[in-house]
Amino acid sequence: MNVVTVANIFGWAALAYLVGINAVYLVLNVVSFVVLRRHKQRGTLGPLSTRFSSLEVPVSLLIPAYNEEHTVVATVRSLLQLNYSHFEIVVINDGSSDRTLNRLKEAFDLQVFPEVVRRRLATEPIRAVYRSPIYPELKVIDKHNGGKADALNAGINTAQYPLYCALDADGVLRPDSLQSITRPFLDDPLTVAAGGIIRIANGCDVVNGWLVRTGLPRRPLPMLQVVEYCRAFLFGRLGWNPVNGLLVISGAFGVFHKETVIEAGGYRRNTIGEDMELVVRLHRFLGGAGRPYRIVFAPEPVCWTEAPESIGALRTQRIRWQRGLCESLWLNRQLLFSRRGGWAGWVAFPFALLFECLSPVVEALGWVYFGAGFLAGFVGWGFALAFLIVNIGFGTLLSVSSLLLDEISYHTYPRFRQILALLVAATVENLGYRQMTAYWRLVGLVHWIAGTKAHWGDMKRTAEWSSPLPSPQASTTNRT
Amino acid sequence: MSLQLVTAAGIVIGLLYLVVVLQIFFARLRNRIRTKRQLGLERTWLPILVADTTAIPESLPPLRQRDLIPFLTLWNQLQESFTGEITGHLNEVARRIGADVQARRMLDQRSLRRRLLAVSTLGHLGDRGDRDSWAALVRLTADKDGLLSLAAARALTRIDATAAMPVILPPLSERDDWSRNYALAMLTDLGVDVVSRPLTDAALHFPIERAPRLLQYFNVAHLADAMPVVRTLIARTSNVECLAACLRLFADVDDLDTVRDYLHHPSWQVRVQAVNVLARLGREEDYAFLQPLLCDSEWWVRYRTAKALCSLPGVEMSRIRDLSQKHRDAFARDMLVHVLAEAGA
Repeated sequence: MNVVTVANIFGWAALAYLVGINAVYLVLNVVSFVVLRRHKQRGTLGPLSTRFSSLEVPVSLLIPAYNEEHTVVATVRSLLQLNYSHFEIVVINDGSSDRTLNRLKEAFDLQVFPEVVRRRLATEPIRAVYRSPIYPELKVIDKHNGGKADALNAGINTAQYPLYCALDADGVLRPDSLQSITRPFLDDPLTVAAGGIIRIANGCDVVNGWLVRTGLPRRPLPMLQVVEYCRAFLFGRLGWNPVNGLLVISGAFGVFHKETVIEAGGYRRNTIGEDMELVVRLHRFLGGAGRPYRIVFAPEPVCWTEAPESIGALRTQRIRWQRGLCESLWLNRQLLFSRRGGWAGWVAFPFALLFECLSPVVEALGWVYFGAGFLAGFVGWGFALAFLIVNIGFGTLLSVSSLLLDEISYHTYPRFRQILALLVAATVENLGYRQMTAYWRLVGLVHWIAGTKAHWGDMKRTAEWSSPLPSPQASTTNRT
Repeated sequence: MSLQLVTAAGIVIGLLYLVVVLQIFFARLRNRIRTKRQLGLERTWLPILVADTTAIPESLPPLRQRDLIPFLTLWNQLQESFTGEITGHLNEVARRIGADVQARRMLDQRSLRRRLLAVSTLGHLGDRGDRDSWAALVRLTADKDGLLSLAAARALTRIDATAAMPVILPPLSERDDWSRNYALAMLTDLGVDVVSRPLTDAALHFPIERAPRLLQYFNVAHLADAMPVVRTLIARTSNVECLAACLRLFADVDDLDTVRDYLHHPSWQVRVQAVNVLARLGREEDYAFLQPLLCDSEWWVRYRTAKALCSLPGVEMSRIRDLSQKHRDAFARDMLVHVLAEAGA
């Protein structure tokens, strides 16, 4: 077998792989259409469920904060006004080196509180617990730095309600976000975790931590991420709902049944993708024990978050995500084809492994093979064109179909100009951007294999889309 | 690879791309038309639907087939929002334009939205003489879709609450997928007089493992019906879930001796419920019963005990403060300090 034959075999395999991955995405797309349609139909008699708000399950909102001095106060202020009957807010200051804790102390008149913390999950030591005499539902934990997972575990230890919601310190919610995301727990007692759609806040108008107008970012990089998020959430996750195969709930906004998470061991502290790792572990733990459970994706746009605006920050984020994916799958590899793995173990896990973990390798090698092969003359016009059609053509088709999903379900961007801009972005996204992120994912994969020390990077939250904060005094007087 | 084949594939994908883009614009256009149509429908029908009950015009505007679903949605929303005479007026309008006939037809259609609307409409119309619809709704309470089956149960209760209770109680005690929120809304709407006796009888006579699910609705029952059942069940069962659910319902000081028996139950879920009852009904002498539980192995029991001690009649805060300083157990001391700080004492 000569080199050209081997190369040809690789070329065919790469092409078949890319056709396969896009075909699966198309299936997920169709499933998402059906799920969304059914979800909307089920809302026909919706108002009934909101009549008895006293039955809402109490929720502890956990906000790990590390150097979030620009956003944390606005986030807490907005959360204090959520439409929800019973909740507490637990901010976990994870050893910030900036003024995060001081900003919170000043804004909410925090006082040290002699809290008895249940140490059900091991964490770095807690320095102090603060409570606000003005807002009894607010609690701030000041602890030594231990990372996001450690901060969340500390939050779980102090949370007093049966459900907890993990939320990023820069997350922007709607007043009814918590109602939307906890509805699956009310409707189905077997639900142990629920995630919702995350949107890009760049370009939106946010006042006092509330989203008042949906807009699109002006800069190209976050604009491309708007399309990417549509794709990832509207069919990348929703499509797994009917078969209980969801492997990721974004760390930016997800609700979990506290006792189940504690039973499963809480967040793993030495991982970088703690959100995905926990969800995969829940599948392994609950499925393995033969316990009936549901991990669901609530198809509601519930949380807006700031996307990286610089190439460097985006690169770090994507490398981290890829490492998180690889780690989560590796650490829970027993789930793969396990006897009680269900769809999560038999379909979603192999899909994530084969198509999400390894796709950057095939994509990168594919570009090298087809590019170099075409120039060297052993890849013909037909073969090269087929690669481009599968890679770029299919990709663009999937991107625009995610916009269609959004249009028929949520109509998030109501202006005509916005939809045109999104269509342009959905096309352009496939001409360079996706290849760039695939490369970073490849780097992430290599780092994980090489065991390079993981780090979160230093994504500076600019919160440019957020209006200046009112003085603490002014806001306090609005509170009854 | 054949260039023609690849080109053809490319053209197909390109055409699909165009179709999806056109669909986006079409969806936007359809959305706009739908909004406009909805506004028109509301302009025509709202004045008729919410008018003075005696003022139904002789001739009503015809209801076009394409307006049927938006009309029934609006009509059901109004039914959910109003009570009293106006609901009879809404029913009269619906009957005159034939919405009842349409709803009966929609019961057998495939679309979940149509079936939900049909079920809800028939429930609001409340026609007791319509035995066919009643039978269809009874069948739907066993539907595998939890929301549809619950909506059918609700419709039955609206048509004939007394006759519906024996139909809905078995699934209410069995079905995992019936939302407690919806079910409680339904029972509360029926009222205590209708619900009390059938619900409490069912809790007593259904298999004991189903009792906890029914006990959670006991606050829609008369105490006189509920408490004898609770007392019987608590004496009869060792099921932790059932014991905790029963304890949660105690509201009479005469039951305090029974409650105190559960303060040292092996399950902390039971202990904590017993402590909660003492927090509500306890007397000064319960101080002695509660104090040992400050050293309980479970955080929640210690926390609730500290809170209960603070709420006992005749127990001064200074006594609790004193206890928080002198208690030999560090966990108990810490918890008392915590609870005192919460109480602002």
